[in-house]
Amino acid sequence: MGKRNADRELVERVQDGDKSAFDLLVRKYQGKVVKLVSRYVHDPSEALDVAQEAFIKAYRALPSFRGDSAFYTWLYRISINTAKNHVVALGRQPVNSESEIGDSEHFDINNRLQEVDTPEGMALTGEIQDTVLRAIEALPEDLRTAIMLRELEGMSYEEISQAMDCPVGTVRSRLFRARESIDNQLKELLD
Amino acid sequence: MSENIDKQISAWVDGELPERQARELAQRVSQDRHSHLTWERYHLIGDALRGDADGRTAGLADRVMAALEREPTVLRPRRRRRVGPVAGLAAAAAVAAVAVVGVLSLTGGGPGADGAGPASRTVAQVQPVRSRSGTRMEQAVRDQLRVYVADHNQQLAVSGSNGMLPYVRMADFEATPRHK
Repeated sequence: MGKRNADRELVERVQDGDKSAFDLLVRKYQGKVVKLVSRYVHDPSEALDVAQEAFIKAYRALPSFRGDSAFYTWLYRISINTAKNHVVALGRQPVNSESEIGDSEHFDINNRLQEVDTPEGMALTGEIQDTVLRAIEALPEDLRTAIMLRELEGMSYEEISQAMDCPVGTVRSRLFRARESIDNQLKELLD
Repeated sequence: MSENIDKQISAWVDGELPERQARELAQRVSQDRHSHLTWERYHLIGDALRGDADGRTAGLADRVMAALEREPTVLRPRRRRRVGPVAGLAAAAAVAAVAVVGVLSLTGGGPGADGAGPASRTVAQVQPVRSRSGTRMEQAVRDQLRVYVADHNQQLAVSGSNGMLPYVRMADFEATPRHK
């Protein structure tokens, strides 16, 4: 049986009336959407409001989403339009970013140059990154390699199993144990 | 139990959960806040590794879902049933039948025009049909049809199919003298 793209499963559940499935989509993409919106809306609290509005617009429009493009590509367009409309409504000139007409997967590089953050937000972002990196350094070699290949190289389980010369089931277990270990550290920070 | 679900969430985050398990897991964690937070942190780990983590988003999902409480539940339009191969063939046959009727009406007759069914006729038995109209427009249409039918029959010959050939009054498409 084939693998199931999580976004597709969640989108279909929302379209079938399961509102809570949308919560998982928000939790997955909230970071990307906030960063994207922040390129147009520089006030951090305004950016969060606009991100929230973008998600609500996406929820309302989901019945018409047919899956012709990836869910994130679709959400990206909604977020951009919401941010630009917000700027126009305030009587400001929307920033004309060349990356907005480009591939939605590649916006992050430009984004880092333009985003504006609060000291608190920057502090928490830094703490999250430090916590994750420290936890990864403390992992056994096999778990560390598995999570790096997956998250940084984007390898599939099959590719990791070949690279690490172990069964796919072992890859799955290693990735879970790595995440579980890092997650224990993150929970302490975020709770 | 919880560890097993977390392990499945880990594979789901990676898009490596088999379809059926993914569907069951989505159903299972639907109302489970613990699982939703686990899912969020597992994604956050990847984001942090790639330098994409953002501390400002804390609480955003809760805000969005609270706002959506007031929204009506969305539902997609009912799916149309997919047309299977048999239904597709039936549709193609219907289109072909319409095409035959159209061609025959343009050429001045039909397979049942003289009371005989199509199965009782063969190409050899068909008498040539004289053109009833001499206008340029009709001649042009007839020429186009001739080319079309010739092409069509050539395709049938290539594909090895008999197609509609026995039922078409081919004699009409041969050069017919206008005046004897």
